Amino acid sequence: MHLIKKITNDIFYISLITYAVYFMLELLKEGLISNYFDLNLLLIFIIIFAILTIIFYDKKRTS
Amino acid sequence: MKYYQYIRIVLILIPIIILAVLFYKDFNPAGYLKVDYDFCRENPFVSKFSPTGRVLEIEKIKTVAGKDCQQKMVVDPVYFDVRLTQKFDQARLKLWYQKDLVTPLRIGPAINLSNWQWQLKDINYLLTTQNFSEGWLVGTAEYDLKNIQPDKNILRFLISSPGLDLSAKEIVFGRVAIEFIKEPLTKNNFFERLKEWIKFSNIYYALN
Repeated sequence: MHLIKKITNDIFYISLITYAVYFMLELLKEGLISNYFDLNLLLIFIIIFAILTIIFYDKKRTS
Repeated sequence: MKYYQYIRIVLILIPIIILAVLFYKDFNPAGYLKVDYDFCRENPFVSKFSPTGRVLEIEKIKTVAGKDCQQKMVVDPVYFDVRLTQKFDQARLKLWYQKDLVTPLRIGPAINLSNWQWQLKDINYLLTTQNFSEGWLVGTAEYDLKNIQPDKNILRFLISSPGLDLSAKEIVFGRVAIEFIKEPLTKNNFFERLKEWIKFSNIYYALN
C-alpha cells in the first residue's frame, strides 16, 4: 500500500510538471503539442491523481 | 520497494519520450505533411469553413458505411485556414464535393493577404466515388508555395464561386485533404530547415 501511495504521488507531480512544460512549449511554438496531443486529457489525468494523492495524504495524517 | 526506483525512472522517461516524438513530428524530417478534414471531427491543422452565413451549418448524414458530414456553401467567397508546422514548397489539394457542371469552383491559398492576392486554381475533376452515400465528385489542384509567406504559421485558403448566391445554387463539401511537400531533411539543409522551423515559433514573431 505504501508503494502505491508513493507511485500515485509521483505520477501526480510528474504529470503536473509535464503539463506545465508542454503548456509553455505550446505557447512558444503553437501547434507543437496541440497538433498531436490534447492537453486537456492530461489535465483530467492530473485532477484524478491529485484527488488520489489528497485521499492518501489525509489517510496518512489521520492514522 | 527495490522496484520503486525503476518505476520512477519509467514515469519520468514517458513524458520525455512523448515530447521527443512530438518534436520529431513537428520538425517533420520527411518533408511531408497530410491534413485531412472530414467535417465530422475538428482537425487541429484545418479550421472550420467561414464565415457563417456564406456556409451553412455542418450536416451529419447517415450512410450505409456509418456517418458522414457535409457543409454547404451558398455565398462566395468562403475561407479556411491551415496551421502549418513550417514552410512547405508545394501543396496538393484533394476535394470531395457536389455541384452541377456550370457552377464554377476555384480554390487557392493567399499569396499576400495585405494585398489580397490569391493563387486561385480550378478544381480538376478526377473521379466520382461511390464510397459515400450519394457519390462525391473528387477533384484536385496543385499549388506552388515557394513564394507564399504564411500569416504567422497560418496559410489561408479561399474558395471562390462567383455568382453562387445569384444563381441560388450551392456547393456541398464532404472532405478536404491537403498534402504539403518539401525537400526531405539532409545533412546539407539541416540548419536551413531548423531556421525555418524556428521562424514559425511565437518567439520569432515576438522578436521581429
